[in-house]
Order: sequence, then C-alpha cells, then structure tokens
Amino acid sequence: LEDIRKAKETLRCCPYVVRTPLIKLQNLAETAAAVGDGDVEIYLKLENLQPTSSFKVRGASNAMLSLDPERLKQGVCTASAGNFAQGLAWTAKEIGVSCNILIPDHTPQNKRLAMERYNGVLHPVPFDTWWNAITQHGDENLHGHFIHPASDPQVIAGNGTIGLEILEDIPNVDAVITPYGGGGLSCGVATVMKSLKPAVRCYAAEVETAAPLSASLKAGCMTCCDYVPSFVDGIGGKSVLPEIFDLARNVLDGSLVVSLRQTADAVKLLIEKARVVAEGAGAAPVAAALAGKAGLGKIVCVVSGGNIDSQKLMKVLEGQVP
Amino acid sequence: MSDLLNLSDVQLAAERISSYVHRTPIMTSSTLDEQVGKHLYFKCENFQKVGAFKFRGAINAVSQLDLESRPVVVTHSSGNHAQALSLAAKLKCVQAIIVMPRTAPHCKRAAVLGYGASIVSCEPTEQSREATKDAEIARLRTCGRNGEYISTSQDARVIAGQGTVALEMLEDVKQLDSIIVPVGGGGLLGGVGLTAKSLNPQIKVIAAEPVNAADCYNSVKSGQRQPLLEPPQTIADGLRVSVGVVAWPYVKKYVDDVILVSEQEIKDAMKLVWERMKLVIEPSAAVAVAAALTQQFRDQYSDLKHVGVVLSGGNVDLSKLPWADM
Repeated sequence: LEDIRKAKETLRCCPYVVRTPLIKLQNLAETAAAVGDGDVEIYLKLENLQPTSSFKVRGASNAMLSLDPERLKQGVCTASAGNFAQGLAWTAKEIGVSCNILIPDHTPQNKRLAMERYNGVLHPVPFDTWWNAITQHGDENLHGHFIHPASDPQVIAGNGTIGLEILEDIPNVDAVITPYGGGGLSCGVATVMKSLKPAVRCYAAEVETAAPLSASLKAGCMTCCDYVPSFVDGIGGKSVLPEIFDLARNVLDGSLVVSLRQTADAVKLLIEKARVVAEGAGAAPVAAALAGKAGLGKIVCVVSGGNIDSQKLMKVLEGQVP
Repeated sequence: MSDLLNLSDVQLAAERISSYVHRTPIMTSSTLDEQVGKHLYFKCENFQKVGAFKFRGAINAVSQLDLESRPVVVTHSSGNHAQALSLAAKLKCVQAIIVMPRTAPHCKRAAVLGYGASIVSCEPTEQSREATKDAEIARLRTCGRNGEYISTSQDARVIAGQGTVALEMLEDVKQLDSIIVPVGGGGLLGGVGLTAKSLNPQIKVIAAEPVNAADCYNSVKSGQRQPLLEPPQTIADGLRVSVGVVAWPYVKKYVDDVILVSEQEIKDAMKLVWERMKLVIEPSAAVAVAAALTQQFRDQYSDLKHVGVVLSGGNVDLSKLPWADM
C-alpha cells in the first residue's frame, strides 16, 4: 500500500496522467431484467480517457519517474504489442528519452503505427522470443531499462492509484471489477481495497475464449487454458503469469467470465448510454456487472481502455460480434 | 421590452439545479493541442443527464414552476430538449407533453416515453409544430389545467440554465481566454456569452456554426437578426433552427465572432474526437471542435492560448454514423 500511496504522489505531480472521471451508468431500466431484482448501481472509472486511451500510462509513468534520473536518461524498453507499449512510448516521448519495444512479428500494422506515432522503436521477433522476454523480464538485445508490462512492482503500484481514486469518489463502494490480462491492474487495485476497505469485493473480468485466471482458480493452481483469439485483444492469454498468480488469488474474490456477445453488447451500451468508446477488455467488467455476476450494491467497473480498431467498432455498432 | 438576464440569474440557476445536474468534467488532448498549437479544454456535456447540456435549461425552468397549480409542461422538439424536458418533468413530478413530428425516429419517441412524458404528433413542418403546441395548451386550459410552454431555447429560464456551463468552465479553468460554442437557437450561446463576459470582459466568445445554416453568422455580421428562410441541410441535427427572438439580444451583445464550418469539417472533427479522445459526441457538438481546428481560427486568433470548447451532446443515431462510408 505504501508503494501505491507513493505512486499517487508521483502521478499527482506529473503531467502524463489525469485523474479520470468516475460516472454513473444511467438508464439501467432496460437492463434491469438481466441484473435481476435488487439494488445495483454501476459506475464507470473511465481509464479509456487517459492519454493514449488506456490506464497503462499510470504504471509506465510511475515506473519511469521512480528510476534514478541517470538511468532514465538511457531510455526504457518493454515487451508488449498493446496498450502498455503505447503508454510507455508516449510517456518516454514526453519525458524525452528513448523507448525500444519488442513485439511479436505477427503484430498487425495498425498497432505498429500506434506505437511508432509515439516514437517507439519497434523490434519484431518470433513469438517465442517475445514470450521469453515476458517470462524472463527482459531481452539482452534490447537497449534501455526494461519495464515489465504487468508484474513490475512500480507498474502495479501505478495501477493501484486507480483504487485510491475510486475510494475517494465512492467511499461506500461494494464491488470493483477490473479486466484481467497480465494481472497488473487487478492486483494493484485489489491491493488497495484489501488494505483500506477489505469488505469491498474485488473481481477480475475475463472473456470465455481465453480465461486462464478462472481456470487456475478453479484448479487451485496455475493451469493453461484453451486460447482462442478474439476482438478482445487487451486481455486473454493461455496462462497466468506465475509471479502474479499468488498475489492475485490472495487479493481477488474471483474471476467473472463473460462471452464475446456480452462484451460486444457492453461496448455498444457504453457508446449509447455512457457516451464513451471502450475496447473489448474495457467493456468486459461492465458486461459482467450487467449480467449480475458481481452481485448487488455499488459496483465500480474499470473501463481500462478505448483502443478498438475502427472496423471492429463499426461491426459492434451494427449489433455483430467482430 | 423585458430586461436581459444578468450574471446573478445564472448563479441562482446554478444553485437551483445543482442537485439535479452532473458537474461534467473537462478533458484535454495532447493530440488536438498539437494540431492547433493551443491548449483546448473540452467541457463534456455529452456526459450530462440525457446526454446533452439541454437538461440544465429544462430543469432550471421546470424548477421555477408553481407546483401547487399542477402545471403541465409542453414543448415541441424531437431532439435533446424533448428528452431533457421529459426527465426534468419526471424529476419534479410534473406532467409533460411533447409535440413531435410523426416522422421522428422510433428511438427518440421511445426515449421520451421512457421518461413518462406523452407525445402528440404533428406534421414535420414549422407551422404544424407551432399550431399543434398551441392547440395542446388551449386544450389543457379547457380542462382546467395550466399548460406551460417551455421552449428549447427562447426562454430566459432556459438560457440562464445553459449559462451554468460557463460558470463551471471558468471555475475549473481560470486561465480560459476564449470559449467556442455551437449555435442553433442561441440558448447555449446566449447563456454562455452572458456568463463568460460578466465574469471576464476580456474573454472571447466565439460561435461555431455549419456553413449550411449560417443565420447566426449573417445576423452577427449585419447586426440584425436574419433567420433562415428554409430548413437547412446539415448533419448537425441539433442546429437546424435559427437564432430566435429571445436569444438574439444576448448573441448580439456578447458574441465576438462566428466561425463557419463545412459538412466535411464537422464529420472529420467528430471522427477525430471519437477516435483520439474516445468521447462519443454528436455532429452538433463536433461543430465547435471543427471551428477550433480551422486554419481561420489559428490565423485570426493566434493570441488565444487557452480555449474552452463546449461538447454539447453525445446522442448519435448509430445507424447513421457519418464516416460509415468515409
């Protein structure tokens, strides 16, 4: 918790992260049937409104600003093809240091462009090499200080500041749902809750096409699960990260698994009712809350990001599952 | 000739409506700032109740009714004001009758009915809207009921309510040197202009208008109200009305300039905000963003560095997104 409080101070003073709005999802009347009888209030912590449109700038900024300035000057690097790479690259650009990014060589063009827009220098490698960097926390050929996208303690602490803000805005929150990919967001936020308000139920949200946390929790140990790629590209892998799993099962009350259909519907609902663009991973917590999986009371859903490909968004708006 | 509103009317409105409205956030974007070379501050009224700033004026008006007399509020609108008034009436336990063209889309009718208001259909002409609204008020009178017409923008109570947008913006961003506001009937523009200039006479108040509906531009340039002679063709469906009689004195007194934007500029701005800021805004709101992005704005106002932009609403017809075929 101390690390998270320190992170809060760091981020408060830095211009790279904003204190995002927390709004109530109105007009739940028509979805009341799904939620069932009882009192449910769904709130949205809009991390999709951060610079680079995801919460990742919190972890990236905290990690970078916690470094010795001499070390920081030499630049940073990471292994990621998604929002963390964009968040790190943008923050590095704002600070004025280099950012090298290891990406799997099948990374699509639109994601490459997004990273390059922020001056990220891309290093495409075969998938196994890339996965190796994730499990080994680095790659000897990559220049700069390596920041792990999920399990770096300063990244998790940065993520935890979301939990502090939620408690400031809704002190009597009953449940918090965070999408679970690498687990860094869920662990950061849940650590805050367990330290400051243990009665708050902390849930991970996963999609049924790739739900390793749910599988591992059921099995009581780390297991691999079936993995099917989907439009929800921010979360969902074959397995959980070992260094995260022990922390995760201590601080989380469970994993809520939603379907791709429910997730796509939640993306559309957020556009219609909340007037924000969320990506699949960002909408998954909302899908879980609407399906009644988080129970009753005041439920805060962390809308983690908004980086959804335009064509996929159009399909969602047409009522399809991309 | 009635007196114009002053700042204290807007401040009173703010107190009156504070427990009903959302104090919406101001968001910024380094991408858009880089594009225009200025600091832009976006007031997110798309997050307001019913998804548009209109709720402020509506609840301010309904809150001032004498509830003992069991009033029935009446208006003609199929857009954001219809929903705003329906919700305001529901919250104050007042009956609402919305006159709507029979051609209004199903989702707009459903939204109004969802708030408990009733709908009376009219023909899709200006004449029919007015006549049907007047007929409803007359009908109510014969039943011994007190029908209260609350216009979408030509009502001092509504204009004062819309002015609260500027109160919040200037409280949150003290260094604002300008505010860009989309203009249709002039309710928001008038209220924001009055409020901003009263708080800071140096601030620039700039209207943003579709070039296809340039009545405000013509009026401001000539000094005389010049309403459009025909319904305009613009994607900004909330701005298809002309600046009205009640709003005009505020527009004339407080507005410094009107920037016109093309249909393509509106669509581009809307897409930019959706994609880079992840905010869902409707075309009428995009008009203000488009104005901020014009070369004209950059060239003419190079001294303005801290620009407020009102994102007036986020109610979009998802089946008709302008870039579906872009």
